[in-house]
Amino acid sequence: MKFTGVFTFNADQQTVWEILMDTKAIAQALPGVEELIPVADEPDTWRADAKLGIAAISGTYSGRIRMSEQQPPDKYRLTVSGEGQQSIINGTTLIHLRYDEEQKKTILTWEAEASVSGKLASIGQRVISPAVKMMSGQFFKALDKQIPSEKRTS
Amino acid sequence: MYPAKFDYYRANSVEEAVKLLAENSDAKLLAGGHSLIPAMKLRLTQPALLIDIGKIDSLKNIKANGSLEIGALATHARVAASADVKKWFPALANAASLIGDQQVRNFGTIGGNIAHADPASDPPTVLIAAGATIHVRGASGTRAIAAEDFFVDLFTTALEPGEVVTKIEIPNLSGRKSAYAKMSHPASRYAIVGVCAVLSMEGDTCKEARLVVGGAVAHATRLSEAEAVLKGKKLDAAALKAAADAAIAQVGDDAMGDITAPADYRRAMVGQYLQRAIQSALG
Repeated sequence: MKFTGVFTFNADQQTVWEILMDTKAIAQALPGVEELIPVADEPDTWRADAKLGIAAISGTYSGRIRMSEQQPPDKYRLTVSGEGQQSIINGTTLIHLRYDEEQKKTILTWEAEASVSGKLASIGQRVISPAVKMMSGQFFKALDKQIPSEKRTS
Repeated sequence: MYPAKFDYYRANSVEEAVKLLAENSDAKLLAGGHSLIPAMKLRLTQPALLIDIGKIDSLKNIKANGSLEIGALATHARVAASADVKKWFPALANAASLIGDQQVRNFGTIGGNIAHADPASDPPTVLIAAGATIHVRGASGTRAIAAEDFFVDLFTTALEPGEVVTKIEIPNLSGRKSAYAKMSHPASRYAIVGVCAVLSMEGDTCKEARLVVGGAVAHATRLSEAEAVLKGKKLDAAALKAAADAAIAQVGDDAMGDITAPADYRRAMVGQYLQRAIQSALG
């Protein structure tokens, strides 16, 4: 399955890049996560247990994320794998940043390819794409909130 | 499959349910149970406590008196059969009659349905079109939420933790023409696309249109672009086509897709069912 999305930050591109690379900020933006634990011998790879879901249908997923292909401050790749709710999720997303001079906003676009198997795939198929859209929006919003006010452009 | 272990408590009043919800963070309300229990049996949700509100008779009334009030525990079957609902807002009676199958309609309740906020469900679409108000009660008192503001996102409502839906209020719609047009999933009867039209007419001219889509998007949504297209127009074939195009454009990338109905198909059907709803409302 392919997903795409856009999120706009009210900050300059360098600030947005720094928050995206900040594992403490990422941990704080993921519900139920206290910290991202680095995986030994694998660069730029962390593991965490997160409580994800929508309304009553939420559960604990244990997963790992890896950052690669970093081209600061323009783009990088995020690879995610997780297990939970009797399901397995694998995905990779390419994240692009672009600064809009006129609006003084940084526009993040993401393109993801993901596979879901198990219970979520068999019964939740009709809502997977809006669920991904909703949860990714929540994640970026939670990151955005952590940008200090003096670094905001508006 | 069997659900995970849970405690069960039957509440005899709304006050008691609210109190129990406040005392137990991992509790869920059980009304008709036709969304909650399947999710529990799949173990997608595992609440520690179920608070059964199904026996609170004061939440079951349907009465028309200045406005139409439907208690949160009115079943879909009772909403569909109610003479008051049929008279006040026939589109709601029709939508309720199209939910699931007879067994689901005999148990599922309108309050449970809207609190669950399944995107493929019918009542949210017609309640927004009617301009309904959702009344809720929590530990800090009661509040009224416009249906349009109630459905926030996928399975997400404006309800705060600990709040209970008590009744749904539908304003006086006399003089309006309304209809609900639905494409059902052949097995589940969930809406692939559902559109409700509530029209205020002056002769052939549309004074105001309230048009709402469900099923095709993450939550029932007003088709404001199509509403604007129809305002002040004669509702001929060209106007309906223009409204359908506006609706399709508004749904855009928000259309959901699955194995039964891909996103581009659903988007196209929003236009079709919008026209059907309007035609059916005009009679």
